Amino acid sequence: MDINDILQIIVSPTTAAFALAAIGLNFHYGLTGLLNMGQAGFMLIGMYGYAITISQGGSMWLGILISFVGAILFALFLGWPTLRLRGDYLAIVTIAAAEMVRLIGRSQWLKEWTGGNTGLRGNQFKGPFENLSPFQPARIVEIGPFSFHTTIWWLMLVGWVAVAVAAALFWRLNKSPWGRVLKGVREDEDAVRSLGKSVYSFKMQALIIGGVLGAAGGVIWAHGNAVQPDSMGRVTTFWIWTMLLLGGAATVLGPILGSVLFWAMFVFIKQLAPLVLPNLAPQQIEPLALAFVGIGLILLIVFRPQGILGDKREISLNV
Amino acid sequence: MSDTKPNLFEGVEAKPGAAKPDPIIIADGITRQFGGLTAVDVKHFEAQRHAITALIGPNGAGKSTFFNLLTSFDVANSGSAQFNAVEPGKPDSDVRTIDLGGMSSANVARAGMVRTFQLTKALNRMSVIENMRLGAQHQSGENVLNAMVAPLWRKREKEITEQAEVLLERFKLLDKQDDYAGSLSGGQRKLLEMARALMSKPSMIMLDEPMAGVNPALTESLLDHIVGLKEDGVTVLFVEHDMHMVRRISDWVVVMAEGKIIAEGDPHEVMANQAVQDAYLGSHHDTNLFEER
Repeated sequence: MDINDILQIIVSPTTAAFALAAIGLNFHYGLTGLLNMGQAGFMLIGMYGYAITISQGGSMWLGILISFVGAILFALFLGWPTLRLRGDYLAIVTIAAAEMVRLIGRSQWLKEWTGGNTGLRGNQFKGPFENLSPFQPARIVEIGPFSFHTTIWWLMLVGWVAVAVAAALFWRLNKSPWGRVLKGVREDEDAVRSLGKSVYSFKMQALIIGGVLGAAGGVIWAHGNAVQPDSMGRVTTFWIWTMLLLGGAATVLGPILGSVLFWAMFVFIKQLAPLVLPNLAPQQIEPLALAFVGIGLILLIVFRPQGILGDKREISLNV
Repeated sequence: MSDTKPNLFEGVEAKPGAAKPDPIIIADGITRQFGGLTAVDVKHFEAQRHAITALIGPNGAGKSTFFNLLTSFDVANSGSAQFNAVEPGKPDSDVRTIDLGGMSSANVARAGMVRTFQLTKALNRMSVIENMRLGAQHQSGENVLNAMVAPLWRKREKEITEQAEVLLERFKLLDKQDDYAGSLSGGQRKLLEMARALMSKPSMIMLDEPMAGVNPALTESLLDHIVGLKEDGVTVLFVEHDMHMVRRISDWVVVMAEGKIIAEGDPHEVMANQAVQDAYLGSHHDTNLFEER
């Protein structure tokens, strides 16, 4: 049992990336009540937009721009037919669209750009960002219990600054008249409509902002790992939901706390399992950890539907 | 009840579709079909400005559907409607005619015609004061880019809050302003919904069964509030079932049955009308089942 592994996952780029995606989902669900079941699709769009641009010779900034524009277009594409309808339709369309992105990404058809089912390797797109690293020369640096390569330190710094910026954005917008309209939409669309607000436009704005944050999470995640379509399947979306509901929807810090706790628990169970069940094969450990995540989610909904930081009077799961 | 005031309906003929001297709404040939059922078939309808008009009729007469059509919450199969808006504070001669056809419900509200709902739509998981603030218009902070820069909208937010507090005071909800709307009683929620609708300073308010589910102690004050709206120059159109309420506060009554307007007129005269009694009231409409207070 290695406590360092747990501490390391807590600060890792993966945790930051998922915190970003969960903050994005918080704009959708926590603030507006939109059931986006395809946040992994936004992450995939983000990482493909970024990595393909760079691997085809574009600059890092162009890559970021394309990844965000991709997320905006994806949001418009999803929202245009569904946001006028009842909430369930968005859920159905997003879950399918996210799978479509994954399947197109892994198909042989666009292999030249996407790399097919093997995806894009790190050295095809990580260069420009890593060259910006102020931590030179490149080597392993140890601070307290954390021992990482300088490129990871650099990525973690950028990742967590992005999370802080996203959290600040959520805090500001949540407490603004704009956020108030969205909360009204979450409660009752027709009431908000009767007060002279164009509900459709507000929902679309929320979908776009949350989607762009998802794309940003995808970019960070790709840097910590690689572009791999199958790592962003339906399950990933449910992880993000678990994080948001665990930490507390409609709160500023909830999604961040949720992401941290989720990954800490995940690593903890992965470490604990072989100690408790010595006969477990290595490939059985991860599914077991995921099963516990599922049990955790059930317990959460039963005993604390508003999440750890949430206010029960304001939001709790009642879908 | 308006004996001491000038009669707005002087010379208006008491017949379905009667023309009014200063109509705020004019609707023509409005129909709405659900499958084979014609829910609304209104040949002509006018509502007089600055008056309280009641829309009555048996269940299924199409009153709420007609309301939804006028406020664009539903789309008519045929017909046209216009709204003669006058901005608050402007003289009545300064009319802006708005074609309601094809308008979104949000735009109808922005034009000055706001509504409430039969099933109260208080935003339960928002505080009372936030509910109120949401009703206001012209808050630039509702634009997402402006929202990020608080100094751009703080001043307006303060004005809105002050306006909200005045209204809450009037509706006796001021001490509840920080409570979640969901914690209010049904009647208080009705009051909140009405107060919230007034935040936009509408020229016309449409109340869909404002008394439904409100306890008798509150109905009195609710009635006073509706009469108060009229005194502030707001035109009121409301759907109601309780005939005593209708008789007490309305200046004009429009009776619907099976989607059509079957009678119109002064509340007392209309209720004496045989066709109305046959369609709706039955012979016992005048017996108060409870003792008069």
